[in-house]
Amino acid sequence: MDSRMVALLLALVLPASGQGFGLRAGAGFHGYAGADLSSGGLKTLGVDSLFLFPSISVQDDGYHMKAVMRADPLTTESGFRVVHGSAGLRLPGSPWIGARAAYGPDSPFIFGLDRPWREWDNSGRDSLVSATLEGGGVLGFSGFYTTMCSGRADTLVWAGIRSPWLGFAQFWWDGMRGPEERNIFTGFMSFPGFSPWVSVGDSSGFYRADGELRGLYPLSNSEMSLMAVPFLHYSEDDRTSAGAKLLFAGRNTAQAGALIFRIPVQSRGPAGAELHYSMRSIAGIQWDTGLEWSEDDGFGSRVQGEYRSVPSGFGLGFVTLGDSIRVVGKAFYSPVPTVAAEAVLSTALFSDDLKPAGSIIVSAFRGPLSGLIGYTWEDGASKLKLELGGWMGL
Amino acid sequence: MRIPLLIAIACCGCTAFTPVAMTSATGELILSHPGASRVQLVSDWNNWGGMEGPIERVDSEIGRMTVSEYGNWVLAIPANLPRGRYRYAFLVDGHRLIPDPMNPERATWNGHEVSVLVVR
Repeated sequence: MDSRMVALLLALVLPASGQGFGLRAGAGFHGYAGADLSSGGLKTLGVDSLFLFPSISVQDDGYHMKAVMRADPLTTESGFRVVHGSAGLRLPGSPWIGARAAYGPDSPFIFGLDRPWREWDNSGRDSLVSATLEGGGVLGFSGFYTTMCSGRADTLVWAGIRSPWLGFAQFWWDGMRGPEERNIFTGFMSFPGFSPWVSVGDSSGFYRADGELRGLYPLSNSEMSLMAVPFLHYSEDDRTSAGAKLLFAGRNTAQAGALIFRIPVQSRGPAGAELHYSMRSIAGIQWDTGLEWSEDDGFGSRVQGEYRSVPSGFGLGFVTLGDSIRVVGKAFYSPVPTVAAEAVLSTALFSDDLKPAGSIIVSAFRGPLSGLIGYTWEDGASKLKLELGGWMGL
Repeated sequence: MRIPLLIAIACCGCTAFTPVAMTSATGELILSHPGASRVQLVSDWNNWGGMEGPIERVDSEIGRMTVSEYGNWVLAIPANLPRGRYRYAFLVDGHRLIPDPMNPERATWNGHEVSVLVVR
C-alpha cells in the first residue's frame, strides 16, 4: 500500500449516512527508542520503528465490520498488513442470534474470581483466526461457540452459556477444549444481607475453587462503611488458603483501608496478614501506608506521603522489607497543563550498600500527540528512553 | 512568636492528617491527582486502553478521564458492564500505572499492582 493509500485512510472523513449506520475511522502512530548509556558506548535497548495503524469500522444494528492494519514505513518491509479483521451478523430483532468471524482477535479470556484465565499457546494475537456462533433467547439463556486456531497448536474450542438474572442469582459456564481442557462454572447470588460468589473449575485435570461472601456490613453509617468478606481459595496443584477481608471506606471522605488475613488450608501455602490505609488529606497530601506479614517473606511496611499541587509537588516514602529500609523521594513539576515531569530518587538506609537509584521522566501531550523522555539510573547503569505517539479519530 | 508558630504547625498537622471531603456519584471512578497532564482509566473492560488489543499500544482516547479545577480526574464506569469482577488502574501521564488509592482490593496485571472492581 503506497503513501497515497495511507493519506486516503488518514483523511477518510465520511459522513455518517443512513439511519443506524455508523462509520468510524482512525489512525495512530508510535515510535520508541531506548538506549543504555553506560555500556561503553551507546547500546540500543529496543526500537519500534515508527509505525502506523489505521483502522476502519462500519456498524449497524444488524452487522458490524472492522479492520485494523499496521505498517512500518521506516523498515524495508513497509506496506500494510491486517492485524485484526472481524465481521459479524446479528438477526435483526434478536439480541442473541448471530455469528461472527475474526482474524487476530483477543486471546481466550475468561473472567474468574481470582484472575482471568486466558493463557493459551503464547501465540501472538495477530496470528489467531476464529469463528463464533452465538445464540440464545430461550428463557433468557445465551451461549456462544468459538473455534480458534493459531497455526502452531491444535484448534481450541471455547464455549460458554450464560443464564439470565433469575431474580436472585446468575450462573455461567465456560469451557475450553484443545491443548488444555478447562471447565469453569461461576455463580453469583444476591440475598438480603449477603452475596455469595463461587467459581469452581478444573484445568488440565486439576480442580480449583474460589469463593467469596460479599455484602456483609458489620458497620455502616453516614461516615463510613465496613464490609467483611470471608473467602476461600482452593487449588489442587497450588496454594490453598482461607481468610477474610475487612474493607473500610469513607462515605464522604477520601479514605479507605483494608485488613486482610489468610491461613493455609491443608498446610499448603503461607499464612499472612496485611493492613492498608490510604487517605487524601485536606492539605492535599496523599497518604499510603501498609503493613504486611507472611510466613514466606516476614514483615514489610510502607509509609508514603505525596503532596501534589499545581505547578509542583513532592513526596517522601519509607519502605521496609525484612531488615532493609529504603527511602524514596519524589518531586513533581507541571509548568503547563500539557507537560508533567517527575523525578524519583531512592536509596537504602543503614546499609553498607546504599544501592541508590533514580529516574527523571518528562511527558507532554499536545492534542492527539504525545511524547516522553525518560532517564533512569540504577546499579550504576543509566538508560535513556524516547517515545512519540499520536492518535487521530476521524 | 512561639504561639503563632505552634498554631500554624497544629493547623498544618490537622489538615495534613484529616481526610478531605470527597463524594462520587454512583458508577464513577475518581482519582485525585493535581498536576497530571493526562489520566486514562485502563481496565479489563476496555482492553487495558488498547494494550490488550490488536495494536498492543495505548490508545490515548480510550478511558480518557476529565479533570476538574481541583485536580480530580473522573470517568463513569460503562453502564452496561455485565456482572463480574474486573481489574482496573489509572494510567497517569501516559507512563505511570497506579492502582486506585481509594480501593484497597488489589490484583495484578502484567506484573503491576492494580485495583479490583466488583459489579453486582
